[in-house]
Amino acid sequence: MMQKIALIAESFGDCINLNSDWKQIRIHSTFRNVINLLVSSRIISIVAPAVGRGPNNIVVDIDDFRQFKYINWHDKILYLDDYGIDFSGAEKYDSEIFISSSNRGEFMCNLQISEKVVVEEAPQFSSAFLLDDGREKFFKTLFERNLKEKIKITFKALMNGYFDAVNELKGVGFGLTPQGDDIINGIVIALYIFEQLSGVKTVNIREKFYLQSSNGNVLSNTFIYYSSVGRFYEYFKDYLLAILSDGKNVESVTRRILNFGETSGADILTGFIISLKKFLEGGLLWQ
Amino acid sequence: MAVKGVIKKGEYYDSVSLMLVAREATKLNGVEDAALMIGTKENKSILESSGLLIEEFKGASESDLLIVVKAKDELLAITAIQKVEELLKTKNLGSQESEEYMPKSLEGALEILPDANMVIVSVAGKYAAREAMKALEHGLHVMIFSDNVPKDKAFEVKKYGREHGLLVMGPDCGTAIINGAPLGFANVVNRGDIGIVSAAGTGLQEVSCIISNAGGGISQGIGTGGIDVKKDYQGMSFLTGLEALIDDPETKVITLVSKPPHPEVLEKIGEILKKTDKPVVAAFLGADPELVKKIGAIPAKDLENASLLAVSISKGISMEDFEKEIGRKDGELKELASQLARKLTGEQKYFRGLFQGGTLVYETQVLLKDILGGINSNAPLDPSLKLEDSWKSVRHTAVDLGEDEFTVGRPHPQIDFELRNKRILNEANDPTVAIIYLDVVIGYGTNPNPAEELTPVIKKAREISNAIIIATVTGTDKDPQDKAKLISMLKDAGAVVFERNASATRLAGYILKSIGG
Repeated sequence: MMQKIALIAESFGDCINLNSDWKQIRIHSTFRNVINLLVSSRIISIVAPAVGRGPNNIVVDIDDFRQFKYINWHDKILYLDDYGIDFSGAEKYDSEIFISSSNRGEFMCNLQISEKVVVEEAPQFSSAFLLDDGREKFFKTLFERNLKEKIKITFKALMNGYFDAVNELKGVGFGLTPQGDDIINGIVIALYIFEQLSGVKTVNIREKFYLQSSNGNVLSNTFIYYSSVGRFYEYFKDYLLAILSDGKNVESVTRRILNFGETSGADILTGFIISLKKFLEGGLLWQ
Repeated sequence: MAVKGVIKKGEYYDSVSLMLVAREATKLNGVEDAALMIGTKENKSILESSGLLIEEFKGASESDLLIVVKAKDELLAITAIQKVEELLKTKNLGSQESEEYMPKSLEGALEILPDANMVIVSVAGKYAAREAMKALEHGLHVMIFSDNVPKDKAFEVKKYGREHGLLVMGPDCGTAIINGAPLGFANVVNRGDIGIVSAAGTGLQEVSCIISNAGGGISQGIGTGGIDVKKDYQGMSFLTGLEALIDDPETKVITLVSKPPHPEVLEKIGEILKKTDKPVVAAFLGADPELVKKIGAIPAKDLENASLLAVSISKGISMEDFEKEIGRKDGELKELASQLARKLTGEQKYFRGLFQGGTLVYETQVLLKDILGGINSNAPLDPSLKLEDSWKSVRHTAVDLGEDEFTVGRPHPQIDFELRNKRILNEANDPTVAIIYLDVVIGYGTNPNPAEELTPVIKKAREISNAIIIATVTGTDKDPQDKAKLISMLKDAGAVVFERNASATRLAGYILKSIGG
């Protein structure tokens, strides 16, 4: 295969091993700003800069990924159609987060600000009705109401200590990453942050969440996996750093997440905010 | 009742798209409920409890898309499913394979269309110049829709075009009308003898629409992108466009639209104008009219004035007739302003403009400058009035929602109304707001249903607040959105509606003046 032109990678995630042999590779799904590749059983995403960096993201400035039809890994070069990706100038993205100390009072205040933005600005069809039941009115048809009720009941059960409710919450929802999976992702992130803030070990329960919620949706599995091992996408890392510091940009970083993946950002934040508040009030909900 | 469904393999869509298509399906004749979702076990249980689980779905996998409709009878259900599939295809919402041959190179495209003489480049900024240069080297004119093209590359491309007599529209050129074909965000206007060169995208839309609505017509509408008239680029595309219109036998009147060009660019425009007898109207918004006269152009104070001047010259109608009309309408505006102002409380004193169009926010600021002494903005006339946080209005504010800070990760506000709709309600909740000002730009490339998107929000805002809502619609009766219906729905929702931004702004100005703004 001839390399016609190099697409330039701006960055790649620290969980991507460029030296490994990606023999089992295929396109999972393609959108304007993202092309998801299935490599073994995990997703590696090639994304536009607007999507941002992540543990498994390769950022390449391309307007519309839907133009590409084939993927190939040849002689340690990744090709989209016959365009090779050049990693020579790419920066490695550090997806870990280190929290030195925090002011609990200020942190709670920042969390409140963030919650307010979610309640006021989340997309109508998101799970933000769990934060404000005034938003339930957006679910109108019988099917939409049933969906909303399912999320509400299973999430409530989970927050009341019934861990197996995760089996009922996973996979609930419409699209590429169903709302239920995104809420679970938010809970897993909250567990990691709770450990950082309180010193209570949450590694086992995070792993349990990942294993229990894993299903046939490799995208959701990938997102939850990285959260469970404390690896975060840039937009969420910025958010966590903002709420754990002086809170200057809390509103804008929250809005940035709300813009992520239609309802996904709002669903993750909803799960994160509610569960973190619960953990901080009463400790871990599950043993 | 009949429940029908289909399974789509290997198609992925985001949640909101699926919900929106499902909503559209429920509006179809005889349809009671509809759902589109992936085939997880949990989703199937929700379908079951909603009476929507059909036998075929039981074997569906988690990567399958399920489409199901409950309708009065079988035929209606099947018809609805076909409609849903069409909606998914036409909206091109998700990840799908395309059957149609799509050439991947300029050479491939030229094999299909060997007589083409123009190329539209819409790729990531860093690659756009290279693609544009390829087209120029083939002797083709270029429209570069992309923005964020590196300065030096943009310069090289423009220079090459200028030296070879080829048009380089852009970078960041969102609108053009070439030989009657609307390109990018553009409207369906009458054809005629008025040629426009514009360094402002929405400016070109506004002027071409006012001309068309006033009975005139457009020969060519050449966009250049806003950067072109700055010192660095020396108006290279603007000058080539102007020369093209001078040479074009179909063009009898020329209209120039821009923010004030750099003095060196203005001088070069003047040099070219010496070579033509064609009348030239210039709307260089905010520029000194004497400077415009000096280069041999007729100065226009705003886009409405420029458009009507061009029509009056084109049609041989006395401008006095238009001026009389504007004078009469101005009297009506003042009367309307004083009626509306009386309904405001003493606390309500601020203007809040939420714009889709960059030129329109600029024009409004120019026109209100004398009355308000300056407006805070994310794209202000005076840098000292730049909003610290574009998401928050301060005193008098006009926000350009098309700026990068609002469009990263979401479509342009002419397509996606969600952000502005939220902001409208935020402004309505502020008891100090007197006027909420909105532009609605229609035409190709813009939101297909602006009335449906906007009117519920205007109604809600009117419930919350008695602030005056002024809307200006840029478009023509031939645009796909049905302008007349849109205007009627906006009025019914409680907005005061205009078809020219300048008129709408004047009303806002008179209201603010009468309340001591």
